Amino acid sequence: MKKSILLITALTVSIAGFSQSLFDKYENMDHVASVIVNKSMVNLLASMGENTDDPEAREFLEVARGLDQLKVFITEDTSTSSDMKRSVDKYLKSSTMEELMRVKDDDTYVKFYIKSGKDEHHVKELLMFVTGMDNLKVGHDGRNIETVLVSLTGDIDLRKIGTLTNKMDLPGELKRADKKGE
Amino acid sequence: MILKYSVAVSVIILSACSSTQSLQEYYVDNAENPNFISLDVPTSILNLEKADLSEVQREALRSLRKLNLLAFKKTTENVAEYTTEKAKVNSILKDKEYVELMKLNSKYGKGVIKYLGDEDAIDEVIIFGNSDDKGFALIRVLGNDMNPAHIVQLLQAIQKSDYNGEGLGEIGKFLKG
Repeated sequence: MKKSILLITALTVSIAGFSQSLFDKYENMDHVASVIVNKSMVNLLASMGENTDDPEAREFLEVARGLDQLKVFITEDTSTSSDMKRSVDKYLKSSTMEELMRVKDDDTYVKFYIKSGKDEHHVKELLMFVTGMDNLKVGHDGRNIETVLVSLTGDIDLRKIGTLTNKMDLPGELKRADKKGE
Repeated sequence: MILKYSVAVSVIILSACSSTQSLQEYYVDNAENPNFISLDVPTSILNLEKADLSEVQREALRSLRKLNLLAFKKTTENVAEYTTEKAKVNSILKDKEYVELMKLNSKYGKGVIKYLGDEDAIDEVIIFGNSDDKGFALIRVLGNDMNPAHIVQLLQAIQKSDYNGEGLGEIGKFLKG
């Protein structure tokens, strides 16, 4: 009996660890630009903005409070891009994510995946994967962005994603999940 | 049996902790190193004692102790040192004690923000940024049970007040020599 409990714990721990580690390797890669925001940062921001009067900021904090972690990976490198695609595929297979929507715009593919949450508007995880942006020039120096991976975890209200993207300068594509959530 | 194990484990953990260098030790060790620029600014230099502050803001001010900066300027001669020193700081910061707030990585450089203490009673905020072209900088905000919400209130009060940075001017003069 004890053994089986131990085994189950070990398994869950390794699965939880595994699902994280799939993307962890991109955090320190040279060809990958990344932003990782953790729960403590969210809490910190929330407590710092507690006394704000700005209604927009208030709404933003309300949404942000539900976040556990935010990860953004951007790469311009072709081989890293395909590696990232493999990781995403692997991750989707290993977790219970379902496709929310798929958008094709010229050569650009945008895919959204969600892990359902407490009700139809809330999700536990939102994953956005954008590929094929080769012809898109972004930023002042006309950087060529190839692939973008955005992962949000926590208790996320899909209807309010727009507030987040506006405030945090996240890729605008994420806003599309907003409309879908309504 | 379990007790025995946990004692053994905790002994191992404790001994491991004490053998690693703390950030403070690292700072002290390298403050004199010619490759580094170090700066230690106590909050008293802000000269806020006489400012018109509420009790909460005053407390926030008291919780702030000092700002600490250690920067490594990379040149063509100290590439090897840069690599070892960067690795040293990274290994110190890997300690679970330092809670990671956020991490950035771009082609211009990497940065990480961590803290020590509790969410509403922070003892130290650490900002570590490095760029392989220029070097790295380690900034520490040291204090005692700093409450982020109260610190924000304090900053807002300073902005609103007629405080014109006399204390900071002193630093400027000092830096200019």
